Amino acid sequence: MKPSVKTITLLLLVVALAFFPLLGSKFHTYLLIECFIYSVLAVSYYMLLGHTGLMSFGHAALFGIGAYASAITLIHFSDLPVALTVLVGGLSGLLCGFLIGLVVLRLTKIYLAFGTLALSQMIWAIAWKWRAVTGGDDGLTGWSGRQVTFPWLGQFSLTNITFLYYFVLFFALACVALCWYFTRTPFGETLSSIRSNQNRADFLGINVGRARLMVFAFSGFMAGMSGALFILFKKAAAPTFLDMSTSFNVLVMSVIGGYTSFLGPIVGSFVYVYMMEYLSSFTERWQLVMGAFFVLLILFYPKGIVGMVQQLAKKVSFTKDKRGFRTKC
Amino acid sequence: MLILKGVSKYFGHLGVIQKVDLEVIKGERHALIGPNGAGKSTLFNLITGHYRPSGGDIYFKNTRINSLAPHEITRLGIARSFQIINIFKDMTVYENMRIAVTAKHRMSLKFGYRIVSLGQIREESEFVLRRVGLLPFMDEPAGTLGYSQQRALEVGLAVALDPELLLLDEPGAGLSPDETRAIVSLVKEVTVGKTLVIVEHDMDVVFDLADRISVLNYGTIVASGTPDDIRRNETVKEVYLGNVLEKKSTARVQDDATTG
Repeated sequence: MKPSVKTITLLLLVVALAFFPLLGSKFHTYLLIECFIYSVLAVSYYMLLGHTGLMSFGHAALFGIGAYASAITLIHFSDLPVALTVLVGGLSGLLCGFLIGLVVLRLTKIYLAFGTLALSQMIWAIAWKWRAVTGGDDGLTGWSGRQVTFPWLGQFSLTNITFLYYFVLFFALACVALCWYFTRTPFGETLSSIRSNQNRADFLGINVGRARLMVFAFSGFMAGMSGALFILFKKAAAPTFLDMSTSFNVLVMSVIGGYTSFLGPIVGSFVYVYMMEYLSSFTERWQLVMGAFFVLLILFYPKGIVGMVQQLAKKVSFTKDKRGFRTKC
Repeated sequence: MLILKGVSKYFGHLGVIQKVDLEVIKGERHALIGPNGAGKSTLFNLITGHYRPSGGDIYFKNTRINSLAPHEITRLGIARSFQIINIFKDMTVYENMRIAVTAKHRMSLKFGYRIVSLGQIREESEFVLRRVGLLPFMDEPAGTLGYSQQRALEVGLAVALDPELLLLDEPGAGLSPDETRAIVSLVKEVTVGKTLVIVEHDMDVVFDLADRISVLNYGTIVASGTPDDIRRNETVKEVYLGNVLEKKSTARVQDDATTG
């Protein structure tokens, strides 16, 4: 089989990412780690919104639970391999997604969105008040110097930014690949059918309720993983992770990149992180600029950057036909 | 096979279906006719679990089904099509069919393998698509198909489930006589050895297709029997057929007048 342009681009991209910390600057290495983590979060959100058509305003709950659960594990089990604490984050996200799903999935559309918002705010309040476990306002810290041992490779510290880059890249690629695979399974297609026409899916004998619960739990797992990676990066867990602004940030990333495509939220998270970084170096009111950008995109390219590129590519290929006539513009 | 005993459905005080008794016998083609608003679609919605009856019981293969969810009823072997086209419009024709075939095999929630790796699912999907004449359009988004092709897909999705009891809600709605004929011959073909309940307004189709006919008027069954019984039935003539036949004859007279 001839490798397609897509495959080649993808391979080149992976190679570039693999060598980046050895050649590129520390600053960008740092930013890219954040991009990877948000990519996982955005893709986990894609599974709900873009793929299944479930709008959630409470995605921060899943992210934050993953963050807190792995932080607590890191603090209390100092012998546990760090990779396992990331999985603990993922699994607690899965459990949380499942439980939230049980409560809110009898709702649809905007009611579902606000149901998730309410529940995530409750979890936020718990993190805020339950000082004994969550540290309250102070949050949790105490694993910044944690050593990660790998057989054959040796020992690395979490403060080693190059090591952290590869550690996060590995998990991010694995998570994104797993999500991609899921969209290709029978289950993945069933989720698409629910987005497209839930009523008909029901009358084809598909257990829509169970499918929605499963994707909520799966999305929770991925969001939990990204939360766990985030605290390794930030070296702290704080109630702001559970804040609704985190939920809306994910939504903004998805829409900027294009929430209807798999690639969109990934592109969106990269654009978001870089915009945030550069805009905030100019002005404290960077969210104002981001908001304007967001509104403009929605008005002119509702399918986000990915949709915009696709549309422009189509225009270019339509501009001239074989005889050199302009056919469509 | 399907038995309705005193089934009623009230929306507020409005009795859309009132104490309907109906039996569909295994292997027959049963037509449900009646004027607009008689409750034909509501009856379908009750059988398939979209609505719950306000009173009475519905049995399918000796199981009481009136408290089951639509997907559970579908899994027992009842599939339906809709009067208003109800397909996955933003997905391709092939994906539409594949979703139905996957559901038939109870594999909709499986994630241990990729869907393209399932040869049997592909073969069955292509088989049904060929049957409904949509194989050439398999890669097109279903929403971009012509109306009659969307109709064929609508029926095809129900057929793909290979149900024991097929409920078709006006499969010929909005189609030209030729297109209707094509759909009807398709329906005949796929329901060999199955049981069919069909709602249809085209009386030529009904009398051609049905082994038995039930007439619904204001939420009650006013007559039930063979096509000949129904044709002779005075009440039916009064509430429905007479009306239709008269219209036809007047139309014919007008035609003659204009052409002559």
